[in-house]
Amino acid sequence: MIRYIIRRLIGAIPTLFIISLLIYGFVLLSPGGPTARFAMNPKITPEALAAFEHRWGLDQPVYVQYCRWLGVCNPDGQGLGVVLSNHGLPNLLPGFMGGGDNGVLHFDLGLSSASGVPVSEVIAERFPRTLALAGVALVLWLTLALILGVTSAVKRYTKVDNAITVFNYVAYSFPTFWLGLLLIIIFSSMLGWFPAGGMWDVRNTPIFGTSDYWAYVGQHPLNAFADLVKHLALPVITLVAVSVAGDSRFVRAAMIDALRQDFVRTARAKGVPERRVIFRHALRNALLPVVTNIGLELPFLFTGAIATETVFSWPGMGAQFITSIGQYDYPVVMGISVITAVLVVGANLLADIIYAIVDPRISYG
Amino acid sequence: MDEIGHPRIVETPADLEEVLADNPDYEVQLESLNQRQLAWRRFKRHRMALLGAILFTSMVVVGVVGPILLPFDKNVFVPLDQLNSNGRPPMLVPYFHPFGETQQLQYDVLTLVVNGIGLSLMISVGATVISTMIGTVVGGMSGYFGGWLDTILMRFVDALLALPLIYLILVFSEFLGGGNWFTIMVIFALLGWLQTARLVRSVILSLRGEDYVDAARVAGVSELRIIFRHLLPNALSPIIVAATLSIAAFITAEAFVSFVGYGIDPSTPTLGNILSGSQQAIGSGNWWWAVFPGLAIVLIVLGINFMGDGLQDALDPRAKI
Repeated sequence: MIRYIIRRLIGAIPTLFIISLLIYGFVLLSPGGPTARFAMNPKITPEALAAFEHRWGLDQPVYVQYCRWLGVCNPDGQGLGVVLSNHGLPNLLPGFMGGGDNGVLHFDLGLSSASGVPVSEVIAERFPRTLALAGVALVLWLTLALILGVTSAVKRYTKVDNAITVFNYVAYSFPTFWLGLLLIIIFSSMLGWFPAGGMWDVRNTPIFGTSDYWAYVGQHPLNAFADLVKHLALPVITLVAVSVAGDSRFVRAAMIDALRQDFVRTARAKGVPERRVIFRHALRNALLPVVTNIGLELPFLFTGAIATETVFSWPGMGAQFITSIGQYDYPVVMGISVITAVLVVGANLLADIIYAIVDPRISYG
Repeated sequence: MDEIGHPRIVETPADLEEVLADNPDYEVQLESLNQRQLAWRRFKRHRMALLGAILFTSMVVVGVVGPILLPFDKNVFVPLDQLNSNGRPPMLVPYFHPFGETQQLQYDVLTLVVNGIGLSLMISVGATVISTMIGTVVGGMSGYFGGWLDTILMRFVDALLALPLIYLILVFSEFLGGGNWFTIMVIFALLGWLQTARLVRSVILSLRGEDYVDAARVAGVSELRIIFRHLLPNALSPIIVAATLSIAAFITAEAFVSFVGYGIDPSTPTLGNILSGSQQAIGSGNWWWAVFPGLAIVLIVLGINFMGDGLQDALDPRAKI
């Protein structure tokens, strides 16, 4: 088993390497760039521009820039010594083992070119907000998907099943952002029950995540909670409705498969109560593909739903990504892309490994 | 009950037995159907699929014929009062706006939506055709030849699939000097083949070891001919289903990309661009601008999803008739 996991982990390295090449290459092809904001500025002389480029290593050949960005090369090194850190050891080793501290491999994602703040700080600020939205939505939609999927499978071809199937089809066909717009129109614009966007009421609540905010939560816990729930309601409904549709179809199919198995018939023949047959015998086996599917959905907790966050101006990772693209803020765009890609590859790996652990029929020699 | 002598057509053995139970004198004649006729029969049996096909076809008709019939010019972003001199006969009946008008510039929403349906369908169907061809060729080669070619191609596919789609679209559209609908179509095609390639590869991998492939190889059939004549036709049904569903995926993707502002030039009335413009008007109670284009998307996608499911059942030769 451990050998299988190690083999899969090593197998992921080439994929990650290609991803890093693609991300870096695409940024080189993209418009704008670090010096774009000086282009229209008459006070920037060519000398100043050259000094800027030298300071940030932009005068180096592309492969050196990539190597530094990745963290394999040391920006202080000369000649062939670039791959060694200041301690004389390979630069790609972690910092505490005598490696360098620059580049993606050392979690150094650079500075945002729009605000000058380190990218890791931008992400650290946005991440809890996305987690709040995506976490609540994920818990709700998985619960609902299980309930709907199992009900639908157990009562197959009845009116209940048909109703759930029709709901699934319709909800599955909704573009996420349009459902968001509809909810805003009905519940915010017409009825005025919920705010149309944002994460907190700017009139009386401090910015989420700051020390002021936590002080406010300490003073008025109920107000703060009510405010958060009010802002969460519409985006969470949007995410849940669209995602439940896909997942409950999946649960239904898995559950129908499980209910058809011989061991279920055996259990029934032995006189096991129907409830127990469904939950102990069938559901536990049906969960196998479902768990794998959940593994593939996990990266979304971190990267957020771009469409939903944009429609509801939710200040999370997804919205930040769109904003940064608009600002040609490549360090942030690259940072979020790298994290997304690593998470997706990791989730695929995790899903495979979980599957191999849970399903005894799979050999992993 | 029918009179004796009147021919009746039954499709299943069970139906036949029922008829024979009532009229034992019936002379039974068997008619064999080819695969295509069988598939059509299975598809017809699927009521949802038929409904989906009707829905989708009518949206296509609306998108193609609608712009010709409507009193406004295709270039809908010309303010309305200038339209009379645009080569069209002056309107005898004052035209009313069944879907309302947009705020400020007062474009007719119906005209926008009808043109949007046509454009969005053109983009997504075009992208589907190209991407399915690329995906089939790449997946077929990868699955058949295997080895390092397969490894490299599939690693590349994995890597591209792990990146955020919106970012790839942005990069490609800058690289191709994008903004018009044709560029977006090409970009969708260049990004959309990944899933098809994976699918085709897995089908080819499972068929590669079949006896008829070995037989063809022994008979001296060339490798390319084995792939395209012997293997791919067997992979046709999953490819057709995937292609149908990818039309829906492209419609949604176009809408989303244009909605966040990185798609087609905002003056082109695709469904996504219309929705994107409508966002500013919601606050002042103009809901019709946002509702109707979105409804068009839902109807198209719903039709395609129904159709895709029906096709999946119809094209699966193992399914019961």
